[in-house]
Amino acid sequence: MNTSTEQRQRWISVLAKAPTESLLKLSDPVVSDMQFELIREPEIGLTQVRARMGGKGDAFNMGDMTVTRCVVRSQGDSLGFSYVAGRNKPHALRAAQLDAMLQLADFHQPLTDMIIEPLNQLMLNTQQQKQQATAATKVDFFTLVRGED
Amino acid sequence: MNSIALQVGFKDAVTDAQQVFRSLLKVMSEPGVIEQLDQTDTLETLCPAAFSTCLALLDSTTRIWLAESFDNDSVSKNLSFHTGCRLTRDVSEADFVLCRADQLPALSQLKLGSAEYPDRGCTLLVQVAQLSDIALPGATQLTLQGPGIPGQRSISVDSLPAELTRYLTERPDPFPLGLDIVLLGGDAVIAIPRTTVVEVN
Repeated sequence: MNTSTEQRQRWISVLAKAPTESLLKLSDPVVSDMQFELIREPEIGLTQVRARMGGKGDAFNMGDMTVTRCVVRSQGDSLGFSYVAGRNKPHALRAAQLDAMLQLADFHQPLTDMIIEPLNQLMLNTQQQKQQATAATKVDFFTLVRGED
Repeated sequence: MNSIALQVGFKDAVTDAQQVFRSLLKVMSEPGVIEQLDQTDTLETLCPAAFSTCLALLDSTTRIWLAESFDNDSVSKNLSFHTGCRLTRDVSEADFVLCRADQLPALSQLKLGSAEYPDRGCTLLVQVAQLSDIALPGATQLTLQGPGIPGQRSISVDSLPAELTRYLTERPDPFPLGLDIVLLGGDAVIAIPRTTVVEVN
């Protein structure tokens, strides 16, 4: 199956950012009857976050964050990778398994419909709710000219 | 789809890496002693001992030079995947050289370190056909003497290249500079550090 890099980036991003409970709940029935070989067991490590001042200045080291990563091979011989923020081995393992399955022609469409799209929708909703809640607390400041000059 | 077959490295990353490192430490400090390294499977043309040694010794700060027989996608991808090591085409900047006995690079080009930092020299990992502490028919018999050896030890190396034998007996580099050599055959490992005096029988 041919998938573009952008497509794969999108599902990997959704899988990595999704809330763990929803991810596990949605994918448990799909993954349970598949066999995976663990190439790299879920492991926790530190990664350095680099940033640029104002998004375009010189790069500087902003700080460290924990990351969990995992690599598996599916029965269909595809390799699934995952890098997940924080210390969360079950999440990293599941995300890698799903990445491997999503690369297989037989599973791609059903998995996209059953897991990726609902998770994406869920995250969009959560984000929207948060934005609305934040917007409701917006305060406008009016500055009165004090006329000291 | 994934044309490069990644392979499982150590089955139990932490304990296996520690065991391999301990074995390498032992063979380095007691030249001529054989240890078994079977923590990994064979990787392409790389024997289990060689693959284990690479996994235990390489990391993102080490540069490795691969001889022709190992310089293929499978070996290089697996090594950089598991260890994050950097591959180099320039043998003179390599910290580790991994080669089969019949494909030694020119030993005079390898990094020797400096008098202040002799530890920055290159470590030569040579995969040979067979290693033993009893005499193998048709193999090169070496007698080792020096630090870490009570009296002397004899080893037998099948397919030891003449150039390496000459290097070991003549030791052209002024001490403390020199190459540390790790011989790997199947799942056996022997080390000949730069302090060892070697004689061919």
